[in-house]
Amino acid sequence: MAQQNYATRQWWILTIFVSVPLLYCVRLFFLQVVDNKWNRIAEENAIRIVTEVPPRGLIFDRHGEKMVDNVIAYDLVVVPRNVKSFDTIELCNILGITPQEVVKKLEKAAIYNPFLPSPFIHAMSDTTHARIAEKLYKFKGFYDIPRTTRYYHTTAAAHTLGYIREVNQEDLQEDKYYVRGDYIGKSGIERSYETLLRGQKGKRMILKDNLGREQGSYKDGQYDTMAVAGHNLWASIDKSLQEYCEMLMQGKRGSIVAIEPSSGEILALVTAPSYAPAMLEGQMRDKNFLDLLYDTINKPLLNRALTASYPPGSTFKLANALVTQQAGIVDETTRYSCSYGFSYGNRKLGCHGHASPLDITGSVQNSCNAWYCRAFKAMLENRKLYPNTATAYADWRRRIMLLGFGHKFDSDLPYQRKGLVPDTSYYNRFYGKNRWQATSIISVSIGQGEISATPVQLANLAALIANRGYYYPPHLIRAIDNIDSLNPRFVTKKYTGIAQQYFQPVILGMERAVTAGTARRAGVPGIRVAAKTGTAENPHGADHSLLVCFAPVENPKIAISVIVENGGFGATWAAPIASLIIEKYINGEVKRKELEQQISSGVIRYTK
Amino acid sequence: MKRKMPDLFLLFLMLILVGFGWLNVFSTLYNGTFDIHSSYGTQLIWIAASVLIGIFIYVIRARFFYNMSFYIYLIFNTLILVVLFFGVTRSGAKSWLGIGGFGIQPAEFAKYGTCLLLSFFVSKVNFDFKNIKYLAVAFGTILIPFVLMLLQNDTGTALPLLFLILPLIREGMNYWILIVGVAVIVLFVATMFIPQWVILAILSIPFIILIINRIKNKKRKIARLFFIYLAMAIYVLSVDVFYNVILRPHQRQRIDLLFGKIEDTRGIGYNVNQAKVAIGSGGWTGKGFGEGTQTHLNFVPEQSTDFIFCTIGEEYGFVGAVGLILIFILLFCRIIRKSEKSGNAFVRCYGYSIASIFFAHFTINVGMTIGLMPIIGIPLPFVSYGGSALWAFALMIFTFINIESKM
Ligand SMILES: [Zn+2]
Repeated sequence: MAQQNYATRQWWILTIFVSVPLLYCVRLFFLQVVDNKWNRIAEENAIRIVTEVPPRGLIFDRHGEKMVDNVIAYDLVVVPRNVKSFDTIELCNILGITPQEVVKKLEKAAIYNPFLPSPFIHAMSDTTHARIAEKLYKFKGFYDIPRTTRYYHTTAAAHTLGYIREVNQEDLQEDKYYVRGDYIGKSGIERSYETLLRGQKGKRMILKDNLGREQGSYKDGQYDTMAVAGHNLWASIDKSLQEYCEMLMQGKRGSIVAIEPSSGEILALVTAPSYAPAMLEGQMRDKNFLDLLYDTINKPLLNRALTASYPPGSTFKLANALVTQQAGIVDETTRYSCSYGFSYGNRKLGCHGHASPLDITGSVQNSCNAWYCRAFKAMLENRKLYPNTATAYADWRRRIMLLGFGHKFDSDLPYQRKGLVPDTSYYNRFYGKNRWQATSIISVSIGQGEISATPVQLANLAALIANRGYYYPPHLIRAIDNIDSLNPRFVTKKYTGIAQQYFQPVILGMERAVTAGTARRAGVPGIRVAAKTGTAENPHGADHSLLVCFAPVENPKIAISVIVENGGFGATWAAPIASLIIEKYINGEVKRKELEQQISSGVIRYTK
Repeated sequence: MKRKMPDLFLLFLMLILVGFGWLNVFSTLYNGTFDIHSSYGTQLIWIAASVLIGIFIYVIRARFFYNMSFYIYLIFNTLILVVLFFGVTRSGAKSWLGIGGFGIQPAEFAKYGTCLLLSFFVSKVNFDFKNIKYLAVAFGTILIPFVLMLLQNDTGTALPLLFLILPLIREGMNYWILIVGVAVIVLFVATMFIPQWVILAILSIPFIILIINRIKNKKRKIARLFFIYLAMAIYVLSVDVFYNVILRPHQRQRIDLLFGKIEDTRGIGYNVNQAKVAIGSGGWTGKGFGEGTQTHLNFVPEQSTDFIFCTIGEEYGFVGAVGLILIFILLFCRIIRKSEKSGNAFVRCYGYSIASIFFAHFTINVGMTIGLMPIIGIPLPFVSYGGSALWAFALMIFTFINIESKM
């Protein structure tokens, strides 16, 4: 047989039988050992990371009354790819939108991503949600998803509390904690305490099968983290006082800042006009926001209490009275005369009629312009203490800034302005080096000219006078996690560098201003009130009405600054408003209903 | 009649594969309590039954298989015909014979019959490969079940029959047919990637050298070389026609996918991709018994039947997968060695036949899971879950052990 000739062919066949499996081994080596992308893909395949968003921290007022709460609201979302033909008219009737809007929203969603849910209606009302929920089976591709939103137990304090919004591109880039769809505090306490309020997101790794169904936790949850609920905050705000202040400011523009002097806690932070916090939450938020934004006459989104700065006017005399005493320029025996003002060169800064000469107390009581011009001039021209005007001014400025002016507080206030206390280089630029003297900048002594301050700085001035020498940075959160704890950031006193004895004549002058001076309307029967009025010159219209005060004098509980824009003299609007606030806060209720009615219904006409 | 010890090593290799396969079915479905009604329970029964079949096969006289080969062939091919008319359709192919809730797939058994009958013919003393009549008989034996399976719409199951050309070559058939076959496939793959004129240019280099060589040496047969080149050229140029006109769109898609011409991880490419993900994520030593996420969470389809190699690759890693492949290499070599040592042409041809069938299944199945072959759903011998295939493969092995030791 020829068979033997073919026996060698076994080796060829064996070669095939061995080489193909070996080739496969090589392939496996590359697949399993060399290329490590498969592992990552496998994990993406099988592990779904479920993020648990903890409830946001609540905000209470200083007495534990709830101000900001969480509620569940429902968003209607649409996954364009899953949408089947539906009754547009019925959907429009339920949601109260037009068919054109439906088409527009669907197109937008399809452009974003046809496979992912896009928002269709944000935070539906309960009735809308109830109606759509039972009809959802008719609208394939539409889903209602629960979402935590804020609920406000007050119509006041909108600017202080702030609001939350979905994160935008900038937020996402700035902080990797956030992912699309997260919420972030955009203003007020919601913003400045964002990291505490948001808590810590939890992460669970869940195994899923090819259809995305859950199949238990990955490695028994050893990589999972628990969500940590947001911290609850107790604001320093007194809710009822805040609401009362906002009621008094109806129809006016301006701000009120009330501080508890012994702690620096802000009891009321009012900006007027304002809006109800609920307006920026819920279905109408976007429309409301635009309405508020485009109200350029009233500017309700502007937080005047924190970001507006005004010339402090005569209230600034308090600061000068303290600084000139401490600098050794004046003392209790110093008397300056005044003949309807202060003349320098061929100019005169006017004053009203009063007894003359006056000591410190009298100058505060009567708000004498001449007294402060003279004291200021004496300081800047004192060549025993200072080699030249600039050095003297720099020392004056340093002392003023110790009182809280010209810089921001180290505080939790969401926004602040520095105000302005010009430095020497400012005047050097303006007048030229060594080309200016006390009389060039004399209006600074009475809080006019270049000087400006924020309402918080003015309230703080009242608070440090009430404390006779120190203050705590005005702040908004008094306790975190526990109502009885204290916000550890604000337990250190800031000393003003003014000795305690220099406060006595100033406070006496403030008290006399109430009993027999310029601030009589700030008085409250039965309570010793110390106050100083001010009138900020306003080149654009009627002057702004200012007042700083504190009460009771013997044991100060509240220090206040009130500013009513275009309110005329300080005594006209600011003084009675402060008076009512003191009565409300100290006595708990206001007996002078007639005054209350008159003030709260008072409307100032603004033309721009 | 001489008698030798049955080849226990071959039996041992088979049992390792069966055990390994069962372990993977078990790992996929075991949930704390042993359930005999689950797949691993059923598989255990099938394994036990196949051992019984093995013992039964072993006690039969060896001449029985030689004498009865035609009837065995006839019975199983008839069963395919029966299936064609009365069968149950499973996953697009009408290949199952349902008997009261219990299904068998006669096609796998028909391969066994084909191996026997082919060996029967080829081992006849007067069989001559140069005689077109004998050649026709041999090819007819292979092509009848092949066509029947194609009629069942079960191309995958039919494909391994083509590998029976290997025993024929071993027995003396002209191997040009194999070279032509391989050339056809290589050229086809080449046209997928390289422009036709480049292929023709490359092909012409060796031909020109050969022709010049032959002219120099004053040898003839230049015309034949020229014709071969012409045939290849025509083939290369007609692949396009074949690809675009004859192939159905879904077949075209599979080919495109195999060659990476289209990227598709969702549609038809999903299975290929997921199989690669499962195996690739196994790393050196795998994720451990029962820890394979991809296979256990159903990302890989048919993870205990056609794609069982994925489970192995994912849970036992490169080490496990290569280990399994080495066992297969051992299995092929052992059968070939025993076949060669047997002086009997029937035993030798039969041995080469079943080795070729196993090799075909191995090549297609494993090649598919690692992305070197198109998706063709056929079982990995002994390892895949399923009764019919296991029994048919057991029949092949035990028959070989029988005749090898007794004939
Ligand atoms: Zn005067």
